Amino acid sequence: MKMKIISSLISVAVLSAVTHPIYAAGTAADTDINNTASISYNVGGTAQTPIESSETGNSIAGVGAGTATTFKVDKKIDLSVTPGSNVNVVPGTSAQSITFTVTNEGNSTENFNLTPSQVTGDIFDTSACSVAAPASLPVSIAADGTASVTVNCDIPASGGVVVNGATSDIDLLAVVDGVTETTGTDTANAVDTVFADDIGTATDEAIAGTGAAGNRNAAHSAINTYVVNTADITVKKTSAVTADPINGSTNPKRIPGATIEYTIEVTNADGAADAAGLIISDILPVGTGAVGGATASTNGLEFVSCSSTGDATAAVTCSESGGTVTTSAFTLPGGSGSASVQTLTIIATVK
Amino acid sequence: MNRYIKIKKLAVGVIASLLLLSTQSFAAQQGHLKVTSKAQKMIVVNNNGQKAYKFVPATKILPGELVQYNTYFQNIGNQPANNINIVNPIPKHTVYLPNSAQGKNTNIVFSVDGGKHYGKAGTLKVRDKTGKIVPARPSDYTHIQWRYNGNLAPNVQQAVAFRVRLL
Repeated sequence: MKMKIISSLISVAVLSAVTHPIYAAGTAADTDINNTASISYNVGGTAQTPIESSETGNSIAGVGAGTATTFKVDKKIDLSVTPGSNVNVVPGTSAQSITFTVTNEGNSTENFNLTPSQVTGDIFDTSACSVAAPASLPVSIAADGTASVTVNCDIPASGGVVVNGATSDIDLLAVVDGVTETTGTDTANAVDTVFADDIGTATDEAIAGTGAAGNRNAAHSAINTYVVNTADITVKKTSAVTADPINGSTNPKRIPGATIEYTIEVTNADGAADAAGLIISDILPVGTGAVGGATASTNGLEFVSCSSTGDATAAVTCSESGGTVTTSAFTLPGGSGSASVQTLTIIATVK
Repeated sequence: MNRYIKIKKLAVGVIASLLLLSTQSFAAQQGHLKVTSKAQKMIVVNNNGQKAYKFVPATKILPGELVQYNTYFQNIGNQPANNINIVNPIPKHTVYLPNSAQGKNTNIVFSVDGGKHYGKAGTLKVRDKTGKIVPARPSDYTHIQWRYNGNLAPNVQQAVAFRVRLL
């Protein structure tokens, strides 16, 4: 019976998570942190009125007679720039978007200036880089808030170093607008400013701060990368004789009546971009002189059948008309781990 | 038996808080004790390769930094005082640092419910987000109470202390 009473008492005592809101950036700048202790006691066996504390000492009894011991939360300026994913681009395109995230890790709302730049010493250079989003600068970011930043750059035409897999690095520098670190001694009961940001890239290190280059200077930067990624298509055509009327399928020869199998392989390289709108078209030498020699003749091949299989994103059909075998349009994705291949097989017989 | 004692202790806590409320109607009067609360920022320093703390007045505090609160209580009357209880709410925007409460000749208990009930560290329970009752963590503490054992003679000053981290 006692047990039951206890358990119900305990559940009353349980706190329903009425704690302070917890922000990564911490308590907002200019917040007063107050503390008051309260003491109760007996003198001569008689309970006395409790006394609250003050910073200089209080002995006046009663609630409200004490004074909170107070300090102010100072302003912490802290930020970080992180790059989004690398961006695959096709040569000769303009206004290609590359993304960054700027996080206000301080404890106050601040304005941030953003400056994109082309990193020198990488493989190729873009041009005309500008911040496309946010629309106007500086951008205001609340404590603990983030801003998604889009930078647009023009990608040069292919050729030279601009080949599949070539990269170009874009740097984004974020600087907190209009803040100065409080120097010298602390200003009591006023908000001081302390820079607490880490070191970013070279553009951050170019701004003076405290300690190592780029450290504690109200600036941070990061690099994201464009990667040239085009489709990389190769085509290979082979033929084989699979049977003839005399030898059957054992060592068949290309004699009239023999079955010829053409294989056309279209390959998109490993890691390349998807190639859309591909059509394989093959002209069979039907009734021309192509088989026998230079002069036109009725000699040639007779179309039997065709089929297409492989890594295309959807089924590929094929048909023959007037000696030309054509597939339906298909998309061959860039290979992942190995090249993607789509094969057109044409079977014909020698006339 | 232990549980029964606990009930009694809880009841004492309730009565104490009722007393606190009832004092609001009293006029200001000179008490027998002087109570002082000091806040000091703790700075980590390297002391011959050992991590040590240096204390400076708490004026410039940034989120994440540590603060020690010292509460001094001095008997300024001419009779000894006893049954002394010091209650200190954990300041808003801060969390209590584990094992940081100290005080000579005191029993230290904690509350997780705004000072309604107190228990020793490690015995308190809270509800988690799913409503399940789980052991309270030091960051759940809302109040600390020091129960001073024995008499505080006239002119004698004692102190208790605890530490918090600014959120």
